[in-house]
Amino acid sequence: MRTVQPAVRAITGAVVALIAATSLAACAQKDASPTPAASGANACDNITTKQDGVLTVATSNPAYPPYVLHNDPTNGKGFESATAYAVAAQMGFDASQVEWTYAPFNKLFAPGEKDYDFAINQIGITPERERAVTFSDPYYEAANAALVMKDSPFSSATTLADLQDAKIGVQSATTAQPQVEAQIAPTQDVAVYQSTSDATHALENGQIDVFVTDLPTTLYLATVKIDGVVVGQLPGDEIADRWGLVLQKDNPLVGCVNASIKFLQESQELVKITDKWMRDYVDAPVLG
Amino acid sequence: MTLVTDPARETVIRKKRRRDLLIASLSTVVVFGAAVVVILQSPGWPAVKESFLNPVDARRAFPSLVDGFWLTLKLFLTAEPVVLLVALLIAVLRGLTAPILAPLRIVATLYTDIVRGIPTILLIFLFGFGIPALNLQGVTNEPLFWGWAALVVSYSAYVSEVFRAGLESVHPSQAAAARALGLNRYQGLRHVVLPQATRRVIPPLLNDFISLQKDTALVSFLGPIELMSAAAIYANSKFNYTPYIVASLFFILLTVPMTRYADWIAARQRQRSQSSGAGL
Repeated sequence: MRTVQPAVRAITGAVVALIAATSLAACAQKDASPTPAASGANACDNITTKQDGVLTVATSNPAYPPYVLHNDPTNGKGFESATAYAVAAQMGFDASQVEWTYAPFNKLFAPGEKDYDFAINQIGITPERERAVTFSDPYYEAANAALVMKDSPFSSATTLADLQDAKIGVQSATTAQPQVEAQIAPTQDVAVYQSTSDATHALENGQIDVFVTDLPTTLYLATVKIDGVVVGQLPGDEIADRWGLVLQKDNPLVGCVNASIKFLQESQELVKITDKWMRDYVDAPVLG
Repeated sequence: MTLVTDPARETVIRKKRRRDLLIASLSTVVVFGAAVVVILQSPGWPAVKESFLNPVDARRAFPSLVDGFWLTLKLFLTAEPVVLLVALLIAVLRGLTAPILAPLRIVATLYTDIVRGIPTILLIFLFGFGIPALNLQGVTNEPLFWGWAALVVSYSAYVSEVFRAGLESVHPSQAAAARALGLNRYQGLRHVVLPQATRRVIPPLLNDFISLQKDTALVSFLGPIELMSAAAIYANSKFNYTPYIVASLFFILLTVPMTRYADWIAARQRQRSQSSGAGL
């Protein structure tokens, strides 16, 4: 005669109940429906942000000049800090209603809820990236440029071909790498660094001859940080970086954000901000 | 000859086994099936699938991942022999008892203590950015070399402790027996103690080897593109995590055969030490 031991029966029952419960929980649909994007007169009516009455903005840590000064975005100094506050003001949040948070680059495109309303960090808009996040309209267009040490044999370069034999360094995931490979076609492998400061160290150590990154950064480094010179910009065309603010995918807030950016552009306020913080960092000849 | 000859009892045993197998299979299917169902039904699954398991991105990233993988292979295949040699040397040095060798013992001990206290990533930065900044004559600034050297230094310290444990686990009667046979200290070490010690620590050595394969990713901080940074470049450029999953598959393909091999060696060890035959 066969009997199933009471313990086994109890365990089986518990397991079945657990499975049923978790399946039901997993099937539960989130019932949040996105607020319909306001059209017409004011795209910023009825917006919802992560925290009520507060706009949460994310950037990197450390954040470098000329985009953020002293690694403190709350001071409003630096091109991206100032731009973020200007956009926030147009959206209806004054400086005291803006909070900053830290978003490492490789977390920007993680699926799921973001803990910020938008991120600003020299992020280039590309169609592939648009699969994972929602970009605002561009707020800046940046060229890439080549930075060398003053005593480098490459400091007299005037054309892209002059840089072909150089050991070139770039920062990970920027448009510099594909642009360097397409326009310069270097004979040595490109070195890829995680941060601006690592690449700058390598340049000073002679481990790389040239550091290619966005023009304002190269000019900032050359004038303020190291004994370097920017030999020129890489030609623009279709690889030119257009930077946008990054929002969670399909976040309806982007309508309000874009309306704000448009207003700042049309009122010339964005030009004034760009001029104020980037004026010293935008002039360099274009490499032929 | 079987122990059970009663056919009735055999039938009962056979039926019980069949029932147990059925219950085990059903239980496995139900539990794993439920886990799969829970994951696939969760509201965020489509987004996660698109972000982590996208076949288009896997295909596009594949060539650069293979290139990175070659560098990873080269790094750990060249680092491991040097690690083993240096670690063995340090372990043996620490075990020598002659008073005149005291400075060597101190150096070996300090080496293991200090190097194990420094995070490997910090060693990579110190070697890769710090040493070239000293501008020493006749010394290369090549980041790949210094990254490799940092890995070797870091892992030698850990592996030397594994060897030391192996040496100390060999019963002192072995060394005594070697002396009794007329071998001097060093011959005894080389021919009697060391082979036994090494055989015993093959599982933890293989463990550290597998760990070294993963830590080669740290060299990418100095510029060279190995497997993980190749995945990161694609992921951060295209905003998709699938290359990381593909890179993990590369590592799993590498690790699984080695772990099975380690298990086999351990099993053979057990067999040897439990057998009643002659020999070590």
